[in-house]
Amino acid sequence: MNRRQAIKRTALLSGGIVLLKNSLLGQASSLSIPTSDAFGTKEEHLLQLIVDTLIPATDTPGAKDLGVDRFVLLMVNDCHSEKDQTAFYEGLHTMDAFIEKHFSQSFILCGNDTRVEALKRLSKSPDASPELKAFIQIAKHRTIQGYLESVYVMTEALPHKMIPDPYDGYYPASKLGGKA
Amino acid sequence: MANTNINSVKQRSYDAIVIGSGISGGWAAKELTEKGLKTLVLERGRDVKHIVDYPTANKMPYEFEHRGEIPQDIRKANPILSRAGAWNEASDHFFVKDAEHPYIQEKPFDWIRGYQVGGRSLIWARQTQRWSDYDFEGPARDGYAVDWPIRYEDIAPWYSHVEKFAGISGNRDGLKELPDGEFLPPGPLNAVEDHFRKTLQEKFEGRHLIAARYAHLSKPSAIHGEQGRAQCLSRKLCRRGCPLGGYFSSNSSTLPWAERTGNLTLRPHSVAHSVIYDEKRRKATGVRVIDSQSNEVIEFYAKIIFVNASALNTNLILLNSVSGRFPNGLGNVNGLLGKFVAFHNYNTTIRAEFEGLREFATFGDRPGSAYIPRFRNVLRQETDFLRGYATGFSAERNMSSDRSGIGHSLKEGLLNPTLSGWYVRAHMMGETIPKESNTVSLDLNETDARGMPLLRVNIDYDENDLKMEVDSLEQLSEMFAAAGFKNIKTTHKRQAPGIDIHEMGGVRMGKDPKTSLLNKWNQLHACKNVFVTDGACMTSTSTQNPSLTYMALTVRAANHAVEELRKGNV
Repeated sequence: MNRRQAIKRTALLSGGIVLLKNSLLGQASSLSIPTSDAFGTKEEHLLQLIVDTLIPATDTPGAKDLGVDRFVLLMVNDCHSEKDQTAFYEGLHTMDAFIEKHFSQSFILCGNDTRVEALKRLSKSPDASPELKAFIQIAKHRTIQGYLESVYVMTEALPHKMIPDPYDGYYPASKLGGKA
Repeated sequence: MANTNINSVKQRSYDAIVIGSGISGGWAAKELTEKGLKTLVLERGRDVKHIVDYPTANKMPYEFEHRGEIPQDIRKANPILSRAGAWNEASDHFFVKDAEHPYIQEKPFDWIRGYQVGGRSLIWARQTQRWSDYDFEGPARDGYAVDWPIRYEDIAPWYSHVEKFAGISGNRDGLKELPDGEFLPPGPLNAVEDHFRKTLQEKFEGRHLIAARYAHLSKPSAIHGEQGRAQCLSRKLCRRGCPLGGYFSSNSSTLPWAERTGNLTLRPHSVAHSVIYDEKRRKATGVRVIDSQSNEVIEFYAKIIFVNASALNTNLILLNSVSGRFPNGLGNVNGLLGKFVAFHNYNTTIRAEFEGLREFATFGDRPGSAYIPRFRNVLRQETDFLRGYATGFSAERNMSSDRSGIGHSLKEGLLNPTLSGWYVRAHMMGETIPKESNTVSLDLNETDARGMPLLRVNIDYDENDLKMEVDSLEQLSEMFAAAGFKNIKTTHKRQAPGIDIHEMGGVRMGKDPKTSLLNKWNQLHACKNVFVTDGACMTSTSTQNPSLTYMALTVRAANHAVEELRKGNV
């Protein structure tokens, strides 16, 4: 049984709702994330905080508002190798110890600016374990993807055209902000 | 077994049977039905109706659960299919899963298949170039395979016939090595592609960069309107099926056309088991089919049979068609059926950056880019390897976002993409030399769930391929450097044959029945009412994307078949 199956099974046994098969981006959902040893309420909250720190709400929605934490979890569980999955959950479980050591408080209690600093330290510090680095790298990569490919960004912030404009291979770069 | 009741036999009798509804089978169906032949098209997979059976065609990226990515457990269950770049969450329903049709790899071979009405014409790369006599004369000049029984002039009018109907976009470049066709307006090149074109023109004699030629309707003609097809809008979501019919597929073009004649019977879920040979009449009389839904074996009868099951499955069916006269497979008198299989070599790519022409960018999109026809050994042998390679080339300049930050700076970067520099990329498409040792054969013991013998595939590269790969990187590097491209990076991989999805041969054409299986009209030498016009018929591979040539050979053979039928010769 791989981790993904284990998580699902644990979720079912513990009465959590398996919703990972649903596309929920773009809609803030009140459905609960499945609970298990690997991913419980604490981890759910932590992951929300991580995506919110990576891409915060401003006058436009941030990653957490768009449910990107659920997307990250879905992709880790469905599309990553077991090695990545192990690193991800390992990182999720050990990041707080690392952050407490360097910032004297847990990630959840840090202020916004400190959280940003904490994630930077996590991805760059020589004393961060390979799992921690892999974890933050996966989390960031999938957060960016989930954000850019959310309903909100693809319809409002950077509207995606299903039918592109006709091609111009000599388009003036200046019109796209490019410098000659 | 088949019901031999007289009426039932009549109900199962047609003028012609076409095995396979892919890119060549669709053309056989169109030509034969247009000429008035009651034609049965057998397709092993499910039906796919144009537009209505393209469930993902209009989905936005966020409507795919994994944003297009195939989940890990499905990838793990499909190691072969996983290597096909075109397989994703949006096109998944048009690709055969590994377990659905097992085969035996004596050497690694990635066999990528599309079992449905339309076959792989739904998911092909749509690049379409004519062969020239430099290609048809290759085997005779350079001493490999056997001489092609046809020359360019034999097939040229049929290329035209196909191009007008399918709709091929291209420029009339006037190159002897890549003859011009019946073109719709060409796709546009961009500033850096033009720059590279001029560089080749000035500094490399005999090397030409041209607009890629592809089966997209850049400007539909009346005939395309009659097919219900509209202009290609460069959505580049082709492999989901195109609701516009913007590119050519059996589903959007030939099959509905054939259906309109009233002469077409399309039978999905029909796995061809073998061609039935009548010892007394010394000809083929029909096709034995396994209905994949009922597992019933049913026989269908016809005067002529076109085998267009895709190259390797055509080999399989013929090898499995045994009779007293042909104990080793239909028409296989010389023992060469299943031998001399070849493919295309895509093992090298080269990338670079360009700092010039920064005043230009690109805007909007287009269905394809640029192409460099084979320039090695065209007029004469000039290298220590035989034949050569064509090259695909593209330049692009993208809007890209800064992803380095965390927090506000990251969000800012993502929402404000900026113009990147120019990137250029090229890849080789090499000819491989057909060899007797590159074979497909039937396994004597193992069968699939329906009792069909498993195909054993034993196909590999050789020394000539390696030399050609090295040469392609040397030559392209030199050409890139001459154009001022910087930071040149080469990739030399060794992917398994098959993943090029250009498998060819095994039932080759030739002049001599002792050394080939098919004559110049694609008839089996030894069983003239059976025609093979898919990739299996190819004597050599040259470097062009092969589908256009399969289509032209098919219409040529189909028209000949009708004439011969009328004369009572088959």
